[in-house]
Amino acid sequence: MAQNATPGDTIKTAGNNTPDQKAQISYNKGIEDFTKGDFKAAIVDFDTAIAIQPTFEPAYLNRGNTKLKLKDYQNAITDYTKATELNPKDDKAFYGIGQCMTGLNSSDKAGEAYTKAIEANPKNADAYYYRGEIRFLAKDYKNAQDDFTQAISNKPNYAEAFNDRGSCKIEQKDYKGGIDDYKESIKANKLASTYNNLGSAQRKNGELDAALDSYSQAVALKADYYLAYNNRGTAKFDKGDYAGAIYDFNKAIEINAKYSYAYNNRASAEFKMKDYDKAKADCDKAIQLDPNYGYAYLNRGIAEEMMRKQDDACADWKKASTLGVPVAKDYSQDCQ
Amino acid sequence: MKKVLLLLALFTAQILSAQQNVEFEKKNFKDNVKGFKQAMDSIKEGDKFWEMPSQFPSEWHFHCIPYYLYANAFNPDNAMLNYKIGECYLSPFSPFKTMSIPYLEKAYKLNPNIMPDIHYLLGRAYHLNMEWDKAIKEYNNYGVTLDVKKQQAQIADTKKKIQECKNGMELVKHPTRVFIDNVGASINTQYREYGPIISADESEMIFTSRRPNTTGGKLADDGLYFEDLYISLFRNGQWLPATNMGDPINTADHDATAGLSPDGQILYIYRDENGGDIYQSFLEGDEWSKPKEMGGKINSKSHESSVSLAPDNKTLYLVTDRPGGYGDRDIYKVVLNDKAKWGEPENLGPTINTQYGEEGVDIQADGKTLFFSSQGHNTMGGFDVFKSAYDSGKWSEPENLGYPVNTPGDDVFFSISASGKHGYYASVRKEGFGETDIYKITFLGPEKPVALSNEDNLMAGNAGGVSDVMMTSAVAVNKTKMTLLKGVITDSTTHLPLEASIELVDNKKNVVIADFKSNSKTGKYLVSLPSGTNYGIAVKAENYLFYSANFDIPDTAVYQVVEKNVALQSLNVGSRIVLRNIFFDFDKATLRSESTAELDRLINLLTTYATLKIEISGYTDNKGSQPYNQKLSEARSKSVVDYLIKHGIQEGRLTYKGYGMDNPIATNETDEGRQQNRRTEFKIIGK
Repeated sequence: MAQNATPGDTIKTAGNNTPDQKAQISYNKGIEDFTKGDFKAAIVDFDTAIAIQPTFEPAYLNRGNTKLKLKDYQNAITDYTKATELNPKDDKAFYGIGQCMTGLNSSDKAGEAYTKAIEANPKNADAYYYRGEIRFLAKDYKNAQDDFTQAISNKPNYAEAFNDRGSCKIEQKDYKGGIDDYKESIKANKLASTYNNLGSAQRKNGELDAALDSYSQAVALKADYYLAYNNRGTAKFDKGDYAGAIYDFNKAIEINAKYSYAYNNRASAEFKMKDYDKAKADCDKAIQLDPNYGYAYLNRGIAEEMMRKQDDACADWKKASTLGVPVAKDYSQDCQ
Repeated sequence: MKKVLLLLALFTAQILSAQQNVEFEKKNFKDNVKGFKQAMDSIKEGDKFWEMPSQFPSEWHFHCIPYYLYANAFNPDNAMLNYKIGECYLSPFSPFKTMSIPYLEKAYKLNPNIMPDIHYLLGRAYHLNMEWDKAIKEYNNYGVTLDVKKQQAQIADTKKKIQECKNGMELVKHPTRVFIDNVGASINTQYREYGPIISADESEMIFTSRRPNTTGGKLADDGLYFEDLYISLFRNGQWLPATNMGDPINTADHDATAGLSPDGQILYIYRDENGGDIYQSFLEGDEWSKPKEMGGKINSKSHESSVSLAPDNKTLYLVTDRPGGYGDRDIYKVVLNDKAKWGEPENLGPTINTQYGEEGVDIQADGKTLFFSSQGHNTMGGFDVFKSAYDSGKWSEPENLGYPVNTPGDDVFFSISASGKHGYYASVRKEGFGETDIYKITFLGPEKPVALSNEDNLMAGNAGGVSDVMMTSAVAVNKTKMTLLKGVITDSTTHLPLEASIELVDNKKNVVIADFKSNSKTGKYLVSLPSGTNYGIAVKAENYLFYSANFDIPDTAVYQVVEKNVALQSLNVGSRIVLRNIFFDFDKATLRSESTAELDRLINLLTTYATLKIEISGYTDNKGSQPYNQKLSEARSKSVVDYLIKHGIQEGRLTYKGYGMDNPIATNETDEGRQQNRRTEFKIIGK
């Protein structure tokens, strides 16, 4: 909106931009600073743009995005909200509110925001994706799966959406469907976590050799991936290769000495090898790391039973039962 | 080169000589005439037992072993001697049967035609050592030597043994999870201990032993001391030294355990009379009465060897080889008739009994689960222990208790505790004190699966994973649904123990399930109550007010031991009892049918003691208003009095009163307390 020059006036050029132009220049500088990672400078730029032009909607949106980066969620929400007031069709602002609400652990409000983003722009693949995540964490796997499907149809190579849809299917016991989705995800992007997921799906589907391969791919991509070592150990356990399982649980512990699951699992393999003393010691460690680890109490009780320490076993099963391990109640019923 | 050939020739000759049969002939031992003579003397001594005339030809063979071993040390390469040692180790009374293997193998190697049954004996030895494939091969080798027409019995026996090996192969694939522990030196000795019987609460064990302090101190025909019964008590976590039960339980002849009643008050004894009979002895105070033949139709001229009394005290399971069974010895059920005599034994039928022998019966305290040993079904050899449950009018298919409880040898006279967690039996094991010892089996149930934890289903967006717990397949936990009720009955004033009769009633069915007595000297009683029934328990003694208790045990209740001591009040003015088995409809004064047994007891008491005057008092809890409760309690006590009048009790002897929520005997703050407070009492107001 350049001002019209009056005849006879000297036309002033550079340095004499119109307010709109000034706002736009600051806005552009803000984007430049944001890209460089200088978020504080970016905020100053967007502040300037907004001060000059209080209805400059993209400046509110991007100031919100910058504050989101700085985890200043409340103020980011204020900016996004202003943006949506100025432009009710700004799906990105609604999406930004969703991100902030997730940061504030307010899943319901985040979900509502993503829904508004989708209403504003049904092609927003990310809004579908993140709403799917919220639904997944709320164990609403069916609707989460639908969201991931929409995300994929809007963005066909969406590796993450394939991965998460695979997880939805696994949770719904559709192992074959889950495995197919993980494989599609890997085609789009080789993520170590997806190989880990694929391995677990194959393990649950009884494809133990394939599971071992997948976990091995995961640790090849990410050498310190202790979760995948722990899971590969479990696949070996399922195959009856208890010594191999112990090797993997050792690796997981080597990488993360505070990973209680690996101690508990190593105890399980040691139990199978009738090394009850070691099994008990590993359960001790798992419990020390996580005093509310019900299954470690359960396993320690099982080892103690074989060590002829019935009273200790009963005490552990009772504790496991109070921690919500269902089968522990059955075991402790026989205790005097 | 010549030297090498010579050495080779010498070496070959040595091998040949090592495998050559060396007869016990003087010419073969010219350089050790003295040793030869001693070896021959020893063989002659052994042969005395080998050739001993006996009902069972090989009964004495076990005694040959030391003599033959002495001679074998002198000349280890005699085929016949090796054969005989192997055969002796396999003889019926030998506890070390698998030690026969090297001798039989050597006998065969020295002379494959040593005796026609060498393959059979090798088959037996491998079978007992659980070398299934070798055993089957030897049995097959023996089978082909048999005459199809003349040796039918041997052919059938060999086929059965092969099947037993196949059963064994299967059973050892899935061992039963148990701990098997020697019960220790207080009970076991270098002599034979067997036939343990355990009281329901595992506080005492009675068993048979053949040790030098047997009554009379003599040896029986088989060269072992006569059988006597011994007892050991379990106190403070250990078995106290066993003692010979002495007179009148033991005699100079064979006296062996045959069973024990669930409350430990009746001991059943096997005696070698009339072809083998069962005697019973009652615990009177702390003395066992003189054993008497059981009477009724229990004993016959046949061999009765084992009994087990069900917890109703009216049903007895009996092992006998009387004619009319399915083959050899069978298990029968005998019911006590109205005249308190044991009726006609009824064969348990072909589900339990086979054409082979059944022995050592034990009914569990739930009255439904029968443990017994059998040479049939899917035994892995000899007698194996089986269990079968009686449900909906029939016995379930017997289930082999599995390896290592069962072995290819005889596993028999198994005794189960009331909890079902422990079994006791006799066995020969490496850790034993000598010959057969008594072992305790602790059943661990199916393997408890360990639980592994994993993190998978990771989300790509925020890498948050789903924590997953992977369980291997879950198992059903065996549960014994039963309550063991025990305690002591005393006089409430003197606190002295009382002999009282205890009546157990199924309140819903209004039937007396069991009727038994507490011990006259100790006042102790013990009763097992299977879950899923509302029980009325009445304790009665002459000149005492009866005591009434109610046990409503839901079907879900697992094994528990409840101790309930009862102090009976003498029939004096002022004495009162709570009538725990009188039930009314909710919020009404209508007597429910479950109350009949208790009311009848009351009528019985008032009829026996015709001058007693009583008050029936009704009480409520504190729920509801005082006037309402007052009215309800009065109406309820009146209902009881009306019932008594209707059944012939003079009106003038009876008064009733409602006390509402007054005089609570427990807190009104809890459900349990309120239940205690809602009650009907009976008080003596005149005599």
